[in-house]
Amino acid sequence: MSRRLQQSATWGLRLAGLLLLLLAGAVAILVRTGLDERWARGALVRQIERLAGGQVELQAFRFRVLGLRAELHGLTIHGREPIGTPPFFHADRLVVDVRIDSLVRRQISLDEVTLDRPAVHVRFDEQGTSNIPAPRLRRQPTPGKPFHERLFELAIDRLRVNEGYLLYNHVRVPLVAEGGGFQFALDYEQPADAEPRYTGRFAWKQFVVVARRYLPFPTDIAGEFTLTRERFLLSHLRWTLPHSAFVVTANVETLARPQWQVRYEGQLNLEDLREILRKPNSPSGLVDLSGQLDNTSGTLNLQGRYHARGITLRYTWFHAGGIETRGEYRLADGRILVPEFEARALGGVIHGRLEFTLADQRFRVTSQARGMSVAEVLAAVDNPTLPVAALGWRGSMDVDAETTWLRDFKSVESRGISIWAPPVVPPEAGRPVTARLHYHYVMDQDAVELYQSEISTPESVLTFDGRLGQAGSALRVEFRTEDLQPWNDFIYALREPGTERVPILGRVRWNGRVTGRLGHPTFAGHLRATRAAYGTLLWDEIEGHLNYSPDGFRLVQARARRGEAAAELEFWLELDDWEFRPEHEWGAEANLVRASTDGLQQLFHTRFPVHGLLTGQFRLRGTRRDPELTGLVDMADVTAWGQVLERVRGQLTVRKDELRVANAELRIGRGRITGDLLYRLREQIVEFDVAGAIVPVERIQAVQTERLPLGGELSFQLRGRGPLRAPQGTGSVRIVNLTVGEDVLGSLQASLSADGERVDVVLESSLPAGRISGRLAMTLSGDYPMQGDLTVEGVDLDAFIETAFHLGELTGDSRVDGRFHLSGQMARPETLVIEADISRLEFDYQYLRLRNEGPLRFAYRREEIRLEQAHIRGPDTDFTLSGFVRFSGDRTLDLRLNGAVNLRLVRGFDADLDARGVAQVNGAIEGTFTSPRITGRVSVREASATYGELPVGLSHLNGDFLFDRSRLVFEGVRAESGGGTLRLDGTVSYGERPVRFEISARAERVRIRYPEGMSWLAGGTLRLAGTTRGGLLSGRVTVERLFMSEGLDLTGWLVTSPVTPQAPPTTSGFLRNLQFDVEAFSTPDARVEWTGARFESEASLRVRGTWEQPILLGHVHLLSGEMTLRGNRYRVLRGDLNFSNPFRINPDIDVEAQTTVRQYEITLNVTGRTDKLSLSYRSDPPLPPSDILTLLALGRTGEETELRRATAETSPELGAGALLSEAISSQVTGRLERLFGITRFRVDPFVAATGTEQNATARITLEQQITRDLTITYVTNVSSAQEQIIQFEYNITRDLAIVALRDQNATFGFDIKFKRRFD
Amino acid sequence: MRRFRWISLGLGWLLLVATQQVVDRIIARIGDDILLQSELEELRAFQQLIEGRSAGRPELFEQLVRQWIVVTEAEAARFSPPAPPQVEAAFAQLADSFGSRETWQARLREAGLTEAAVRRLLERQLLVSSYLDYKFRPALTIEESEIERYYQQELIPQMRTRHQSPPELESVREQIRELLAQREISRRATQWLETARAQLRVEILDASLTP
Repeated sequence: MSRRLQQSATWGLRLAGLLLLLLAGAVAILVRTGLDERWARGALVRQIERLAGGQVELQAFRFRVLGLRAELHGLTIHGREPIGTPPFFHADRLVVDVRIDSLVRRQISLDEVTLDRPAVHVRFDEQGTSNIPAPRLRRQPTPGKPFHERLFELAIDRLRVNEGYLLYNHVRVPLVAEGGGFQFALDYEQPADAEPRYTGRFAWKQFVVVARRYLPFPTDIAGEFTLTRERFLLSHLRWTLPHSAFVVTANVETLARPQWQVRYEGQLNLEDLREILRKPNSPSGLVDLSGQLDNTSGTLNLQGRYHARGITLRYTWFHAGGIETRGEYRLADGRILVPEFEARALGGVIHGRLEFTLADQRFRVTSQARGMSVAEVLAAVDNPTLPVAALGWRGSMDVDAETTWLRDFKSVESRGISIWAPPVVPPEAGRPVTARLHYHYVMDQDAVELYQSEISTPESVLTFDGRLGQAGSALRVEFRTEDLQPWNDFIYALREPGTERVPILGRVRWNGRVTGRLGHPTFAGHLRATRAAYGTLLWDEIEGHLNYSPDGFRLVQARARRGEAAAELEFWLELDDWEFRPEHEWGAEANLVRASTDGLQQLFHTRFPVHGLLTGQFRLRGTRRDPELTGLVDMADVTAWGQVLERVRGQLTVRKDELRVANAELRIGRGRITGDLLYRLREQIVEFDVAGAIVPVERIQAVQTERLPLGGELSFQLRGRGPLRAPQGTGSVRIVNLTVGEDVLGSLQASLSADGERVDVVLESSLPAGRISGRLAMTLSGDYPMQGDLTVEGVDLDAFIETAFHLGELTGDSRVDGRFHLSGQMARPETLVIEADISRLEFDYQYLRLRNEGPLRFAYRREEIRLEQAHIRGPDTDFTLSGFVRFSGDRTLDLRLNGAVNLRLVRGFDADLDARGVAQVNGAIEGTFTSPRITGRVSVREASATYGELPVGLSHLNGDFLFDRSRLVFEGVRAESGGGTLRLDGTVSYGERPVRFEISARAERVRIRYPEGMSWLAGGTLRLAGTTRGGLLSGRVTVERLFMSEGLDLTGWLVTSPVTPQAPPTTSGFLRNLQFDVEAFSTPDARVEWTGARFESEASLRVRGTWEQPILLGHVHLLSGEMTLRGNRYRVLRGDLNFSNPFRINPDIDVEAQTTVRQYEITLNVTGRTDKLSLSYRSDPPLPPSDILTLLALGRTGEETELRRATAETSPELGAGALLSEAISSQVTGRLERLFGITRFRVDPFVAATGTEQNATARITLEQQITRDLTITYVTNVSSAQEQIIQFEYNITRDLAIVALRDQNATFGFDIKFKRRFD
Repeated sequence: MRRFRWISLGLGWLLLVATQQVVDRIIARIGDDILLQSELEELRAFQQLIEGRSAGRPELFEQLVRQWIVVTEAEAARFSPPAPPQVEAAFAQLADSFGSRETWQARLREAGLTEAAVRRLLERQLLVSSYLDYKFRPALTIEESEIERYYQQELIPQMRTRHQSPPELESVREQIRELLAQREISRRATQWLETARAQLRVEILDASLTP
């Protein structure tokens, strides 16, 4: 650049700077002198006047360049109002913040505008003239041509209007708002064929009204309007709230006397209403509204419809959702009326009518609800004070009600009738319910009146009548339920949360009242429950007066029964808001009468082994934390720890840490135990002072054993105190008439002393014979070790001996001298040991007097005896014994026995074995009782033995028996039996059960009595093999003689008894299972005999079967013999008895016998089986069979018998006649017997009257065969003592007899009879 | 019955005059009639005489009541009492049954009875027997089938039990008929006595007479 140019630039810059300085100075002069403001104000006023069309006054104007803020003070725009009236517009202050959008295009924006106290006055007179100024148009419209000019357009980012108002005639509307995005445009239009008008458009976003209590949240509003001379039309207004929106159109006709009509439509979200009302619990939901509001008829008219849905109420007393309602409403007579609305809620439908009175803002609803769900209704009203949802009721509900309230559910009052019906289909869960409730609820009184209402379920009925309210209640309630269990959920919902839940059951009747405040009710009334249960506490019945409130529980005049236990009681608890706290007091009084302790223990969850019937009075006092129970106890029929007591009495005091029994008395039979006892639980300290008097020892179960029963009278005195397990004290014990088993020993007395560390006992006796003394010391710690010594002198200790040695009953007195040392630990009885050193032992066993030789030493420890040294002597007895025997557990034994043993002692071990003699024993027994191993030898000389019911015994028994651990072997043992000799060989195996034996016997001429009534003389070889359960007797015997015992009617046995003869009954299992297989043959001269009979026979039989049912097979031939039968002596000509039935003795008999009666030889044949025996007869001379029988039976033939009967009976008719006459006579006799008691004599009036002879058949015939040849016959007529016939008949020979007769006429005669037979 | 009662009273009075020790008393009332202690004692003695023992007082009383029933009805029906020869024949029969007269007298003394009392009792016995027969026999009808049934089912088995041959039916028909008639009389008499006894109003004044 050239120097010239640089110089030009420099001059230009200097000039610009000078101009700027001059301009700045001019501006400064303008600002300082206010010329700028005056100019600006003037320009502004002119502009406003042009826009408003009216005169503008501005008191002050300030403009701050910096910040571009203009402030207008006292801005007034006059309209066409009369002078003296407020101007069209006035604002005390108008602040405008400007923003320059574009200098080039000269565009500016109003950033923020604030109007302080603006006042807009709009007046229309009756002619319709207003004071609104008309804006000045920039250009004039052409008539007939449409004209439009934008008068002004504002866009303000933020507009504030403070403390302003709009006065439209006399209606004042506050103008207090602020918001953003305010836009306002006003146009002037003049259509070609219409009147000119102003049209405007406005919008204001997020504006809030200052009175926030009415609209606490920003909303948007936008609209369009048209204003003409006469009319204002809001063609569109949209008002948007945070969750709601409305569209309104309004039309105001005749601005002077406005008649307007507003139409609206929108959706109101009740959340917005909740914010407006500031009621967080107000209902929520959506309401669609549409309608119109106008005053065209001169009155305000409102009508529309609504549809609300999703309405949710959240009141404590009512909370439900999903409510839907719709209806039409209108405004009339100062009320908004919904003449008919429909609502759907709680499962039902509600129809009704709603009125809202504008004056007092009171709502009134008359409704009819149908089909509502009881469960949903209860859930809606459920609250902590009344948790009715827990009832679980199911059903449908109808309610006719009238409800009123103010504004937002203030002062609610409702009355109505609610009818509940159970569901048609039984519910799967819950209880069907029926109810009728007539109620009147008043919120202001916080009370509900219930009139004669009832609620019932299948098992319960609740009726109530009265008032229930916060201020006070007086509700009469009657409650009956057959089962309380369905109410448990409700009961526990009422109780404090977290309460332990136990089943509450029973059948309950409660009749009472509910009083007090609603939230603090008191239940008072009479309660009766049967089969009641509270957890594990059970009662059959409980009844009383109940008073239950949050402050306390009281049950008075109550009776409770459990089984046979009954109690009268009163019980009370102090509560605090239903809660029973440890510091709260409680008490009870109870009288029990014969209450079973089992029931009481169940009641109190104890399990003491005490049973009995308790009677007593008990009193409970104190706090829950620290209770005290006192009482008088009287128990009968007591069993305590296995001890039976007739009675237990005492005064009982139980505290938290102390148990005291005073004046206690226990009765056991005749005895009494009295005393006092104190036990401190925490310290475990005991104090006692007890005494017993004549307590029967046999009644003390603890000392009784089956094998060693003790008896006597126990008296004692014990006194002490100290730790439970180590007290200090003294005492004395005395047992009078101490009985051991059956033996009365005498008296024992002991003294005790304890010093807390040990107990010392000194024992002395007062026995009629002998003495017992001793000392015992026990340490009171650990397992209580003890030691003692007992000295016995000359004491009869039968029972001890039997018990200690497990012997059977001793058969005489015993005597013991010795010392016993006791040691061990009381807490561990298995350690107790008795060591005995018996200097003298004498006892009778199996009637043998045994005694020791030298000291007898043994130790006894828990069913085990260990013999160190025992030498026993007695009659034929001298043995030593050592080893041990254990009587329990594995029952092992190890004994050594050497010496002579009297065999009678064996019976003590086997009662069936009766042995005599001496056995030399040298043996050992080891093993167990069930499997003993015996080794050694037993030598028997001249012994005898019988065993059980065996028909044979042994005598002169000599032999050796060898024991080879598990087997007994004997060989060549000889004995005598039944008069014969025996040789025995065999083995007995006892190592394992059962014991097995195999014994052979060779016998010679041994007499055996078997079966009953039969005796055999036989010999042979027999073998018995088997076990103790049964065996087989086999062999071969020869029978010399068989003898039947006297009284055996062989004929009767053969004729009448087809069954097998029985062996003698036995209780031995061995004999019952003993089988036979023995061959029996007869010797050539064998005989069978019984009284009156004797036969030579030949027999070959086999005996089979069992002991109880033996079977005979084979035959018996009767070779010869004779027998007497019915007075006749028969000669057996031949006979055969064949036993072929393998199941029973039923031989085939073929016997021929012959006898002679008078001159006749009669041969008798008996044939057939015994059950079908047939007899045949023949005689020589021959006679008919009947005659033979008559001859055998009566000693005469039938002819002769008939001859004898000739005088008494001549024909069968007379025989029948006698029978009939007797029958007739008995009838008459019977009648007379009933009237006169006479049987032996009667008068037959007909016989007596007519004198007819008595029936000739009424006679008696007696006959007696004196000897074989002499017979006497006597016949008499019972009606006449004179009619007697006596006959003698004597058989001289077979063919010749003499008969002598004295007939009824006392005539004597003789007949000589001669018989001859012709073949 | 009344005559008997008067006789009893008269005897009782005589005994009272004679001994001044016997006291009679009323033991029961039957309708408008009475029963005396002496009547009871007399029946007891009669049983003791013949049977050797007597029934207890309650049973004696019932027997007296039954007698009263029959005798009262017989009197009401004007039934003829037994003829004296009948009574004498019965008396003689009874006395002879004791063997000797001495035995008879001794037994009378032992029983405390007189011969007149015995005659009286026998007369009543005859009266009762006759009247019962008279009362029930006319109404009886014995069918032939009943006779045959008895013959077949009772008589023949009984005969055979005795090992006797049964007779022909015709030979014993009338006896069977009589037997069946007596059975029916007994049955009806028993039934009638039980019914009458149940309807009778008896006031027992002696507690020992009630069982």
